Amino acid sequence: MIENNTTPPPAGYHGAYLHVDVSSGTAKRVEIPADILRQFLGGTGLGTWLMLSLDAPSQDPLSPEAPLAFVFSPLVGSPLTTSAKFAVVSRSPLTGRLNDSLASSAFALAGKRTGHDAIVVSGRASEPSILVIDEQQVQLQPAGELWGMTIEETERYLKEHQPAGSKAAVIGPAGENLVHYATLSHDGRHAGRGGSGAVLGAKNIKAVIVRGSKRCRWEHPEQLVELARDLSDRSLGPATAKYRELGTAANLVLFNRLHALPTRNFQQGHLEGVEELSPQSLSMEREKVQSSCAACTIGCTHIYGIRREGEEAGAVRVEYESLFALGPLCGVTDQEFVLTAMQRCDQLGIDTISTGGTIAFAMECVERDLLDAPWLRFGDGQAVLDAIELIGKRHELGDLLAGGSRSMAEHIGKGTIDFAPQVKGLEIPGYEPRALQTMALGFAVGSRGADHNRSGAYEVDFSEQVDRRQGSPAAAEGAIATEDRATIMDSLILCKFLRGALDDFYGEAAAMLASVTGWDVDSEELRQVARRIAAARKLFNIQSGWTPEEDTLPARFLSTALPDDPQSSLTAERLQEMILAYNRGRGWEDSGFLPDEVLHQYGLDCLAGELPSG
Amino acid sequence: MEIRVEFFGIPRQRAGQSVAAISLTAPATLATLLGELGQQFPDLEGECIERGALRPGYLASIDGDRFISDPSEMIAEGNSVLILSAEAGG
Repeated sequence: MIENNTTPPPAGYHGAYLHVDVSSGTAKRVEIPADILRQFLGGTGLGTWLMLSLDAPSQDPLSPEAPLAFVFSPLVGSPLTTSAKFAVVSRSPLTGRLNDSLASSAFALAGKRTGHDAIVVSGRASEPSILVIDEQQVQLQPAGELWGMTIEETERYLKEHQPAGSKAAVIGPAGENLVHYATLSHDGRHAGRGGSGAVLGAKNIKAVIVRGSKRCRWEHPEQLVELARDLSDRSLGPATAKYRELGTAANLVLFNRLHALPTRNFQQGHLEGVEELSPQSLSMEREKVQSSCAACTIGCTHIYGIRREGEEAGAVRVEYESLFALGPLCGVTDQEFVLTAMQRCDQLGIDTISTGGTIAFAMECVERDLLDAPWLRFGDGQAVLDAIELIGKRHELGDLLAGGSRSMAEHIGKGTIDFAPQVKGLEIPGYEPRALQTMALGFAVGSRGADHNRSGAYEVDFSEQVDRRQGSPAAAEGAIATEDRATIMDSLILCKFLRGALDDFYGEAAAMLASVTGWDVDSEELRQVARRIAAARKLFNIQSGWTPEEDTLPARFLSTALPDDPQSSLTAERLQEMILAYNRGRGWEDSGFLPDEVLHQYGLDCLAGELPSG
Repeated sequence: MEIRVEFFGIPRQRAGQSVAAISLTAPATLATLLGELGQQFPDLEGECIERGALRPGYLASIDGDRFISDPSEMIAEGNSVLILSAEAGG
């Protein structure tokens, strides 16, 4: 039986998390102090605090002891558009560092209605199981025939067999097989990066099912409804038109024009024929439907039909990152192959960026005679599909690829780490770092590795502020600003596609939070929250073994100009200058370690213990 | 002089084409070019550009090298000017 709080929580919160030990099948409700909620908000921020509190940095992420948290937020369940989101937070099996990934939709609403601000899972079930949580109890049920099913099959089965109102976050075969970049998925959306699916798979849990009816009160409901109405109106305006009409896939052609489109494992920034994959071409040649996540008015989801000869017709949600990684990065421009590859990743439950990055890296190893897999060649769409199957099942070469490109490079040796497309083990998203050098900084210092969601530094590159091909320390301030804004969006939680619609981001975010919680929160407090969470993430990483040498890019990017655009050239010295400016801008030691005064300022000293320093 | 204009994202949707050749009298500024584009492609006007200036959320780039939005920026013979949605998030 799940008990109630001993002290009333702030409005917008339940004031507690549920900690489920799937080894014993027991659960306990743990209160979260109100000051912690105000300091870390929810989502990735609160998740970071939970991980530090539960000593996750010292635990093998695939061990039974390792905690995995589903974290909701004060805005979940409110009428604010795009707020139906949840964070999945753990130590990453891919990077060994903090991993926080986000997904959307009704799981967030139902999860919060169980009466908790977060659900933490630890332990290992004695057999493959599903974990069912409602507001009264927690149950482990045998996964039975679900074990082995794809994401899509699992979700369909659970919809048919669970009571109405149940929502499930599930893993696919790749999560069961502990592929280090396995996803955790819900309703066609994926907490994609960093391998949270493998963490759940290591616990023998195929699905987490939530349902409930506990709602949080709002402190100023009329004000909240007014803010929500205004935000919805703006979410339908020009600031989101690109996402609504074309989707993120619109980036592809522009990036190609700028020689910023990673191609053939970052050996080029441009690929002939890539127009074939543009949203305009896709729309002309195949059926398309649009949809949106729960409680979202933007409607950025563009789902295209697939019709491969001899195969059953299907459909897949198309995003730029999936398109670039399984297309140009592997030298492929054939629509049918690329869309099928995306669909297959979604079914098996593997992150498309890491999958494409790892396959492209393997292709270059083959090209250089460093890997014996002659069938795996750039431009061969069927080879990409075959590699995906092997990864999902960890068969043959797939077992090696399942560890990601850094792990592969460590296995192969012979200097391959120099062109493994990763930072801290996380494969680089679709932004060529030599062509977008503020983004290069964002990748290098990213707490979860090369990451376009926790850093929006590319926005600085796409502005008049800098020369995108001449990164400089002056860009560090802009990089920090995009990180901090992303931190608040990921903790409140709101979709980043709204950012262009928010004229005064911190002021408006503070007003939303105040209307829910009643706190007298202002812009400055939210800026401090962002700084606190950034320091907490760094603290997690330091405790898990981070060293300053990790904050860099693979040697390829620092020793070779982009061959098809030689002006795109970045040196190790220039990147180091930018990193130094970043660390100083954050108030950290020049090395990136955290000074005692920063730990004290943000109330992190009680979580820090004995830390190394630079 | 003739300027090659390339449209990306929403500007491409509104222009209905990916490339246009625009004749301008030298010397010309970004404002001159945008004014001409507004006349030739009416669906751009009001959403992407407005009376010779880019609306918020849109950018121009000279030859893909430099991003600009200042209407007084000079455009030179032989330039390609890219008109694009500023949001680059994926």
